[in-house]
Amino acid sequence: MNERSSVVNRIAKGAGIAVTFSTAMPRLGLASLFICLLSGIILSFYYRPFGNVFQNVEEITSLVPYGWFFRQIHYITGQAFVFLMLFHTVDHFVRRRYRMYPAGEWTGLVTALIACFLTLFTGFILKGDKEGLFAGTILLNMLDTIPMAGKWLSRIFVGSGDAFFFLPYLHHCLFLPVITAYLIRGHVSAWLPGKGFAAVAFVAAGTYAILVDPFMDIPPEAQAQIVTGPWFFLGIQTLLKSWNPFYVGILLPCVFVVLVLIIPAVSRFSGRESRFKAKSGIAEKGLYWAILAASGAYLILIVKALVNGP
Amino acid sequence: MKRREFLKKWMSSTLYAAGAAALAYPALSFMTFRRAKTREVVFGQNDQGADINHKEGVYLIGTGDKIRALSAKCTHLGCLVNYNPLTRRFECPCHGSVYDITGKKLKGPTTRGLDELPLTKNSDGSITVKVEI
Ligand code: FES
Repeated sequence: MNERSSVVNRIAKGAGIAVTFSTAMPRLGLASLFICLLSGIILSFYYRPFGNVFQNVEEITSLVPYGWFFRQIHYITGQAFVFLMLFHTVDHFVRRRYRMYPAGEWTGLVTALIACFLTLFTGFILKGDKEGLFAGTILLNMLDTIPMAGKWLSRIFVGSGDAFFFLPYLHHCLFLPVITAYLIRGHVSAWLPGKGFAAVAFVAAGTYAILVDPFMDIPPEAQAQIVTGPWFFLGIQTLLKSWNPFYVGILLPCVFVVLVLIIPAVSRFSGRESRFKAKSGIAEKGLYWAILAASGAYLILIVKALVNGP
Repeated sequence: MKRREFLKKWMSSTLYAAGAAALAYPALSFMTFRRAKTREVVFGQNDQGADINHKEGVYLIGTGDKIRALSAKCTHLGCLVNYNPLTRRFECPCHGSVYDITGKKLKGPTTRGLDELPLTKNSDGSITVKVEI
């Protein structure tokens, strides 16, 4: 625990413009997370993951008093949290700060980031519109392609028939937030936002909710020429057009995550006086650039898909 | 580490792993159990007006004795395909698979055609199609 907080404190105590930016990001992110959780609790009083989910969401947006406001606040703060956490991770990574983390803590934090993306993905499914329905179906069928464990894994994430939305709901509201909170519990103590950050996050999210209309939800029975997934899935959606779903949707992301997970361990070898020092130094550099190149390529795919469609 | 200590450690880890597996297996079996279910889609006479009719994820194609039912579920990753009356093809809005009017794969990432579904003609002229959930 001491080692853990000292890592975070050393980073938080930095000075200069770049570091100020670095330290503001996680605080704003956490402030967004608190607002997101609060608005989620409010929404759960009307949201039902059974029956006509699309109609339920439409009622929240247009019938229930201030439903549109809480839906938009929940949406934007969730996006902001994951976005800022992603920036925070990239910021750490680019500065090679993974070298300071014990392997266990690094693994926990990377897993927390994955859990955050899964929370966004399940939230996308829970809209209950055509996009949400297709996203859930694609997730189910992609997990199904995993040899041996596929059937089990897919059934853990997505239900069938009337209960289609129930499992994503359970993951979105319970399992994933609990896992994330558990994994970041020690790490966030140095980043807790003060009143200032909370106020900035609330005003920004509130302004967004008031000024921006919710996205048009496509009714499940309507015909749509193109149906797209959440923004971070667009790269995979593009690749799925020509590649095998198992390689693109499961294997590639897993290999990427494994590379990110092992880099602190590799760097530790290169930092030590040993006969492997030179070789592991090269391996760390190779891994570092491979991860950056893969992330850059994926970002280009997302931007391309946002501009031209997947 | 002495051989005896090593053996002891190895045995206790194996026992823990076996215990965890013994608990995990029934838990996972429970969590992932699904009862096989089918639903029925009934095309009344009014639903059979055109040579391509769509209802609740099922396409009814043709007329008279040559009538067939196709699942609208894309065989790639399960999105529902649209029927394009201009090209007389089924097109998937997710990753672009295209099927001809008989359900045969024409292009795209899917590896096979649309699934044909069993149908029953009822005495009142309606048609019942069974779909697995
Ligand atoms: S689900 Fe139809 S092409 Fe992928």
